[in-house]
Amino acid sequence: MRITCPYCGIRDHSEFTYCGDATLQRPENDKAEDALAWKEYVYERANPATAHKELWHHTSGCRCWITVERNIRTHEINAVHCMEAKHAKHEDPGHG
Amino acid sequence: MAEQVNRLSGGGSIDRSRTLNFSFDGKSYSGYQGDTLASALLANGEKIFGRSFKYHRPRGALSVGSDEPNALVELHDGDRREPNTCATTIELFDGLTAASQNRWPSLAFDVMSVNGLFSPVFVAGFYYKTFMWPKKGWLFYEHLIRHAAGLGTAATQPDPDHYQKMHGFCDVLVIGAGPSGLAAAIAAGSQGQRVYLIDENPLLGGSLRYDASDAAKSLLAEQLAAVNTMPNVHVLNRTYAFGAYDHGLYGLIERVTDHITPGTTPNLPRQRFWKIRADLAIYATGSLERPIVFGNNDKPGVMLSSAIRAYANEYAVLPGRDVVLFTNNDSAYTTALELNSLGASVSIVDSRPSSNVSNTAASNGIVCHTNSVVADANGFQAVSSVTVTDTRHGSSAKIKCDLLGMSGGWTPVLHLQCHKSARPVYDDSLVTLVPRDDFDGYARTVGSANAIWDLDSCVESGKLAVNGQSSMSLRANSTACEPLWQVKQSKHKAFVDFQNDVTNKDIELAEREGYKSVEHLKRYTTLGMATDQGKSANLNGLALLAQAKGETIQTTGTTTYRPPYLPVALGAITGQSKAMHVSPKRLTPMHGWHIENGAKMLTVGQWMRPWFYPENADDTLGDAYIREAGHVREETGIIDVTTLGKIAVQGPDAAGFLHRLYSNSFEKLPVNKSRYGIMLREDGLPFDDGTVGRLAEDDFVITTTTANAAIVMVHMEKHAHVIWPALRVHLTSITEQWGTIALAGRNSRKILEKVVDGDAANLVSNQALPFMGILQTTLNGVEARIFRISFSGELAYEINVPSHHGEAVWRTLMQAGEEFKLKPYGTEAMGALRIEKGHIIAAELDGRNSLNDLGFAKMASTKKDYIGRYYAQREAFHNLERPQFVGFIAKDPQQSLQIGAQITEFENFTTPCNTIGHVTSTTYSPALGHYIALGLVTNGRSRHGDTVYAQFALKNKKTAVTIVEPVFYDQAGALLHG
Repeated sequence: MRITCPYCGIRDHSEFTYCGDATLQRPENDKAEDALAWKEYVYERANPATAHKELWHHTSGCRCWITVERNIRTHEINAVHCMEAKHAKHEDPGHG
Repeated sequence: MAEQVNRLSGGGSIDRSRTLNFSFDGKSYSGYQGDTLASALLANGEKIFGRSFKYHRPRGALSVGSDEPNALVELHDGDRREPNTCATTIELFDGLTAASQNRWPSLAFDVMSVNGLFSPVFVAGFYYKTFMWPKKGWLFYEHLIRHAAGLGTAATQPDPDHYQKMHGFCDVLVIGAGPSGLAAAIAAGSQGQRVYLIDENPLLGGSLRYDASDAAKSLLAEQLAAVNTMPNVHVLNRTYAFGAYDHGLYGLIERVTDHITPGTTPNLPRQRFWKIRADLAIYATGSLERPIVFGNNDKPGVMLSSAIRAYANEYAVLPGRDVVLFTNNDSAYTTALELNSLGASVSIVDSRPSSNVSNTAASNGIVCHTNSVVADANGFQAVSSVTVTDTRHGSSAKIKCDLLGMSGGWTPVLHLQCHKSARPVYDDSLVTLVPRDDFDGYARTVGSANAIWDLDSCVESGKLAVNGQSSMSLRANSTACEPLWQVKQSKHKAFVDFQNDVTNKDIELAEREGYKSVEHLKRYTTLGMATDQGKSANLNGLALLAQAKGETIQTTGTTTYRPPYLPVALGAITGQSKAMHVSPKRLTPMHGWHIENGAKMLTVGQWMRPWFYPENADDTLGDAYIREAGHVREETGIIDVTTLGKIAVQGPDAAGFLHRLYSNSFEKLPVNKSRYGIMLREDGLPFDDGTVGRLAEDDFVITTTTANAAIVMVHMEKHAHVIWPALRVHLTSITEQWGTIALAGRNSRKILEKVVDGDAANLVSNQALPFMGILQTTLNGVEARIFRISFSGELAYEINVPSHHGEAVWRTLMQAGEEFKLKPYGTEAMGALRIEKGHIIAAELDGRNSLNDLGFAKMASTKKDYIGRYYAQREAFHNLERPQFVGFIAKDPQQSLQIGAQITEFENFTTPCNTIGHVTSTTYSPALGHYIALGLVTNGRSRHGDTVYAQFALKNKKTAVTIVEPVFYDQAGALLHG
């Protein structure tokens, strides 16, 4: 497989580490004591035979975290997004 | 020396001016430059190349290429010996040595061929059925079976050759350089695309090379001339694609020097392993002629019709003069006419009625038996006659011959499509397998690989593919092939898979026994599972199963071909990554000093660490670590701890981030202070430990264990970037930027006073730099961060200096410490010191023990959220029946204990044994003068003083031990604060 890193361009998948479902949300605030939410976050994983939103880490590259929309049956990749850019809430991150 | 009795006087691509000498089974032969081992042996009149896998039947060459199932030999001898090599693809070189396989004592007389007499018992599933009783007997039977069956033997010495790895990127990868592949490469090349054109053979041309017609010769000349003018078409000959992978990745093997006498080209690799990434691949892999399933179809002298043609036209070898060709299609007629013109007497046995093609052949002097089949081949070791049966009235006649060609139609080579999960489908009108679709996002199939056999159409299909068009409409049964899957009139054994000795009877038996799915059939009979991956057997096997089931081939289904297309040498995959190049070595800045001072080094992950420093040649690890650890307790020691993971955590939210990362509190950690911390996984179990030091309000440095440094970094990055992206925190691995030296022992402060710049005595005083304090200063002008941290339990400091100053600072400290008897100690002594203090490492922090188990319940904050908080509270982790961290001392304290020993309540136990814990760490304690150990025991904290037993079954050792507090030395910690 080859993955197009938003920072580095097209790279072999051996540079990346697969890190599971990208849609998981850590239970916090009002859900901090929600047993069901924790069980889903820590233990439960769907294995859909279709497109899947995955978290990948460009471990041997820019170390950027990316979400990859990949079809698990065909390995077709529909989209790659950068996690940090999507989440950035501060105008000035403070450190370059 | 044998004579080349079957060599034609003219023609072929061989160079008659260059005679090459070689040996096969110890006998000397000669051939010509351009020969293969098979063509040279055939030229010398040899017919038998090996013995078969199961029945030890004599076998000759069936084919002319890499689909060869029979003529497998051991190439070379000694450290280069390579078993199961196709004689049909080994290019001849001077001095070549090869031996036949699976025969004893000799090829002509093989003792194990008695297996053939017992063949009724060696049916499908024979081993499964026979050697099942008694159960333990299999170990014994297997030994005998492996000796009797099987192929060659591999070399046992290291491979003397070297290999390379290459990466290639291109717009178009054309696999196969026959007429359609060449046409595709030329079309893509003329559009300016970057093209790789590969072919497994030494010369380009594919089927054109075996074709004696003027049309083929002029097309080949024209295509080769065009390719040679295109610098953007990169040609790799002697190169095969062994596997197709996702997103246009192909694995290739280029046989760089396999055709040259070994050892004569030391600067070239034997093979290159290519990874080519192509936007588009064109599969011009051609098609293979199928054998026909009839009696004794494996006799030496029975070959594929196209192979006979190729040996004659390419190698000028005619392996027989009285030739019978048995066919169900038109392609054998071309062979017949060409052999006829070379002077052979040729008869054709055609299962079909007479036609224009057979009439033309008859008018050219070829005897045509139409509506007829070859029921059996006859002869002692090689074919000498065939029994021909007329299918209309059943009459039989024998025809004398010394060469029998068979043509059961053509099957496209569809391995690469299968590697990408596209199984072939059977097409009734074409009487063959075709690719499901000749077109996907990354690849197209052209030429005879796409069931297109007409030469002009092949060229056309190559051009269409480059322009993004399908060539499926060009498919045609241009050889007028009719189905003929087996000859029912045969009396003798009829083989489907030659390499694995699978007969038509085996397939019928498997079906009767219920192995009706193609996948079950394949595994039960081993059809298609040999090194040739069923290249010649696959479709015949499927058709016979369909016949046995009374179904069509479509409903029976097809099996798949798996990588590799051809065997791949392990050396090629390894490339240069062998011996010291398997993994990089990480050296600390002080490495040179350790080597200079005779340290024995230990590999820890990729790091090299000093293990111990022997004082003389007879010094052992056991003596050295006790001496070194004792010296730290009595005087002062110095150790290189650079390998501890170090991560800089910086930014306005750094404190908040660490507060969430560790189970204990960090928000209020003052500047120039450090604190021990444990990280949990989100499932509540401890994962790594280390110290966190605060250098400034927004600047921290944390340490991790050596082994977990990279994993902790990823864990932190994930939480900083993905889980809590709003936190303004920046992470940098600084393990290699800072060399770290620990000074431990009573005089360590006095040594520091000598090297710290400025008012040293004040700067490092107990008041200014207390336990867990940090001093940011300079040592002889070198920037230094001094952490008063102790892993040994002594008054101790960890001194961090920029790596490039590491060795100089180490030497400065050694010099300053001379008057205080400062001595280096290694990791073994460090381990002894930490066990005396009951500090945990990976052996205890093994991912199964909870904070409470390890005695760290107080480190689980109840006032904040942190990673692992929710599940750390789970009731089960606080169950008293869980193992708890304890120490052990043997009843006889001079008895050593073993890591991994199981703790039992009673001295004697029955299996299965109820263990109540285990030993994790052991050492001799120089401070105590006896052995001590750490471990875990159920409810251990309330059992101090109890006697239990350490059972070490591997050495049949049981030791009575007392459970004690896991801190053996300075339990009050007075030394740390002194």
